[in-house]
Amino acid sequence: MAREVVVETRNLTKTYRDFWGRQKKVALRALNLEIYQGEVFGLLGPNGSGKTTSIKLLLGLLFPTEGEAMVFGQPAADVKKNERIGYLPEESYLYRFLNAEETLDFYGRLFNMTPEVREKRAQELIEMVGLKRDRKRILKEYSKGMRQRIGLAQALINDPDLVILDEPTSGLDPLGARWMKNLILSLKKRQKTVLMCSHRLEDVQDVCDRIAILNEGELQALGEVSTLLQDINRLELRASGVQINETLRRELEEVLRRHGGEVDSIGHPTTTLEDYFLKIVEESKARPGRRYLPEIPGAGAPPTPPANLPQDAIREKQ
Amino acid sequence: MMFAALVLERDPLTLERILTSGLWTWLQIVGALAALVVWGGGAVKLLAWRRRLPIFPSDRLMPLFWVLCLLFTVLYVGVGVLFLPEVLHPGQEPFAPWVPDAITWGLRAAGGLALLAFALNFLENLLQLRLRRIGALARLSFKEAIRRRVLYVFCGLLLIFLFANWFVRSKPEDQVRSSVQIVSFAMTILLLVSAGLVSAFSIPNDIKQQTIHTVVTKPVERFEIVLGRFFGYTLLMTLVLVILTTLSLGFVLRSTNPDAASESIKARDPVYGALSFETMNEVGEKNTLNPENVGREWDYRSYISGPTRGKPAQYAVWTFTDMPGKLAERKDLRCEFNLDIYRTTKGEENKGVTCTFLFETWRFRPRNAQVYNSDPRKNTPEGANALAEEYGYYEVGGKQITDYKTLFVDIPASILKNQRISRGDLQQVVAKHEVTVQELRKRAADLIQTIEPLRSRQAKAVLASAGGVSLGTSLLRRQQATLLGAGTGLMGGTASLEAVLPGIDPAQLRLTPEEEQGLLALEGQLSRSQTELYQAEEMLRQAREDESTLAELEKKGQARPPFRVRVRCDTRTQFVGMAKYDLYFRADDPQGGRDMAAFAWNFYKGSFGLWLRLCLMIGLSVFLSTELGGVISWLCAAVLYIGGIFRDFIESLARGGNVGGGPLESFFRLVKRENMNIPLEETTATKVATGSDVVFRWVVGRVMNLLPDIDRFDFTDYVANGFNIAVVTQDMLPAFLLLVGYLLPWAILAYYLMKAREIAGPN
Repeated sequence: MAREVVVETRNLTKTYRDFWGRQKKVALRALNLEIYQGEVFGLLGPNGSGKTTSIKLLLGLLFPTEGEAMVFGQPAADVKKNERIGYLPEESYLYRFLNAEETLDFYGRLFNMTPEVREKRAQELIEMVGLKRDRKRILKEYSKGMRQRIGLAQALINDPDLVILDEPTSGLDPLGARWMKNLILSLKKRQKTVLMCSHRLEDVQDVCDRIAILNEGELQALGEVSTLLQDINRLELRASGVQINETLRRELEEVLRRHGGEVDSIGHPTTTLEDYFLKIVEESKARPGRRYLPEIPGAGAPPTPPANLPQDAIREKQ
Repeated sequence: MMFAALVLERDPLTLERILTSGLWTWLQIVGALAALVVWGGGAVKLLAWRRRLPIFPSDRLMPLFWVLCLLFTVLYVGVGVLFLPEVLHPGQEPFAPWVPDAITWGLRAAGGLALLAFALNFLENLLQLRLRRIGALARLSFKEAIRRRVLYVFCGLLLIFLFANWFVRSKPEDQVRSSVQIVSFAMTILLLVSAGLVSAFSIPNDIKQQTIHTVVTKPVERFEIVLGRFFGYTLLMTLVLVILTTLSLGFVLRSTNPDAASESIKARDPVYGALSFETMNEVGEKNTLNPENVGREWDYRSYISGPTRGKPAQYAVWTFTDMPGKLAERKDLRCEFNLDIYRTTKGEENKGVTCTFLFETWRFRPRNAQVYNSDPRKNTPEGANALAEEYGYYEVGGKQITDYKTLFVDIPASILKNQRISRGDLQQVVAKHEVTVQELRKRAADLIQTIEPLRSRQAKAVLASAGGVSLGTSLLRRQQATLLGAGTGLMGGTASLEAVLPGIDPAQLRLTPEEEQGLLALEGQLSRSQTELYQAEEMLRQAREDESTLAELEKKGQARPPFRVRVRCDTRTQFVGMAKYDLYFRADDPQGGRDMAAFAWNFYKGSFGLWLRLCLMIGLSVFLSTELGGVISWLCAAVLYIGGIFRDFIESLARGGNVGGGPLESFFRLVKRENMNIPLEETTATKVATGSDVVFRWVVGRVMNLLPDIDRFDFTDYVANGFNIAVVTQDMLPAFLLLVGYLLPWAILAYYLMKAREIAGPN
């Protein structure tokens, strides 16, 4: 069964002009895309490649010079389509004189929600984004990460079918970034469509089903992440319960040579820095007072921790 | 500028005027502008068909749009054809009598259709607007202004309250006027500048800081953002205005001297009349008077002179067509006035300029003035009331006039009963007079019947002793004959009287002293009775005349003739100046004792004028900022506002009413050192100059249509001079409708500009 097309662009082109109508820059050239319901779609590209312009065209913030953009089968300039869309801008441009509750109440009103629904939804989202303790503080006092979280909450106030995220993990610490990625995956589980653009390729790789790569306003690549990243000229073998030694290396080389290949490298795999970082932070949370002290060659007994620290706050060698 | 009196150089705005001529004019002007925009849009579409133009409605309404365009274009072309002869031969009579009407109605219809075509997309979209969203955006604007501490600037007003007295030097009676003017001026400047700045920067800042991105990506119509901003700031400014008005009221009332209180601490509800001038000579002949010009540059007032030998007396006449009926129920009716004195000599020591005020209804006959004046009843209040009702006349003579001070005379309110009498009542008056006349006639006849035998005896005695008819008796007989009518038998009796005279002893006929005294008394009674009868017959005749006049008017559906106040200057060599609004009747109760409360309420109503100007400033700033940057929007709004203040001057430029001609003609005169009042010699250069000025005037005329009529939104003078501001029929509601009429086209324009605007930029 064919999946529902949520976003469709046909020959979408955007040219910026100056006051006198002279062409300044072609930001996007003849983009043809289809994004389906329930998929996480990533727009990738260097700065100025047309990612944000594409998103702004889809949201009706810009008008196409040529071609058309359709969302849920309606023209992008149509306001009604926005009822099913949630948008998180790159920088969380929210009204900084409002607090979290007021912010969500304001955006809830824009969806014509009743007071009861607004309040219930706002409390759920504040809890979800972890700002319950800070819900009465004005956004001006928020850190960038906190603003990104409340920005996400406002994007989800209407429980949208299409979530458009512009650099969702920018400004977030690894914990926040992981939380954001988990959230995107949970949205996917709920059959929501997510369109995101990001510079952090590992984030895109982690969550996206399909990606499009833009450069200089033109579409360079489009397809499923797993397919696009597959290197059919190389082979990866992973095993457990065995350590590398000369005999094993020789035998493996021998087998591969018989099949016409050759070993590039053999060794123990390393984890990602992100996983390692998260592991440390989790341990730190589990054991308050834990700290890193460098090992000083020739030094005697480690210094005594301050009396007010718990007993397990001892020097550890990492 | 303060004139120590309420000066109204234009008639107050009435609801009736707004809903009739005002509405048609609006339709013509706005419709013409709309037609220009639609034609412009069509031209752009023809040249660059791909270009997005928001004025075109949805595909569904496109056929209607084109039909409307076609209709109004045809109508404008038709009007142009009809108007062409006037352009080619100015001043020439139209070729058919229906042409002027056809032009007027053609322009109205075309304007209406053009406006409908222009607003079609707007109207289509209007149904999508939701109050909750507009309310949310309004609340946001309100909170923004509060939390960003924009309101702190209003504390500046407190400084004015604290130190205003340092700068105010006024006469005691002008104290309240000065205070009200200063407070109003300070509030106007402070609030207008703040309101303009706050609202002009709101949408541009929203776009610049990209906060608008999270709003327009919600199901929000862009016009809802514009309306939300407008209503938010209006709400904010309303709150500020109420607080500042309350503070200002406290400042104004903190210590008022009695003179100032009697001038200004009240809310007079005036009834105005129309002013005209006339002369009247000693025999009561009236002629229209061209009032005197005393040479003052400001020609607001016209002047009448004191008595001049050999010339008829000059009168200023106020004609009141619609005096409220409730005033007739009062005891007194207060007539207030504020006249200007122009002295040509120092005058007499300790004697001011005096005037006589004559109050007359349509039922008053000048010949009754003498009867009225000789009636002793006029010296008591009750008698004066009765006389005023009877004659429709009241006179106040020798009233001393003081410059720059509101003076008054109280007149019997019953004079209005005379004015407003119904036909039924008038018929009753006629019937009453008929009864009176009958009674008086009967009384006179009875008296004559009683007197006659005595006179007859007396006459016979005189004849018997003198042997002939005396001249006196003859006269007496003639008088009796006149009284009772010829042929009543009395004249016939004369012959028989003479026939019986011979042979009678005169001593038997002569009256005793008691009889003679009785006869004298009876004759006195008869004389009074005759006078009363004469007056009663005159009143009956007048009542019948009035009744037939009223019947005639009712038949024609016309109002009864107006109530008049005639003012005459009684001091020789002095002039008294007056304008239409310098004399009025108080429709409110001047002795009601609610002056302070009425003034306070009027003070708040006065603030409504400032509220309208704030709405105007906020509206213009917000609407312009949908396309322009913050600073430019604010400047444009300020220019339109200031242009609106000088609208009268611009209008005089557009109509060529200024002395010395338009800019080129003036420049020409300057270079050639020509006098401003002398017509220019007809040369090619002067023709070019005057011709260019015609074009200039046309352009100024069109620009003038873009300017708001600020003067209509200013009620400060009413409050400062203690005049009530009417709510519905005049002043407030008409001014509000005027503002709506002005802002509506700007709002539609803002709708299109916002719709066509790309909210985001390249970055």
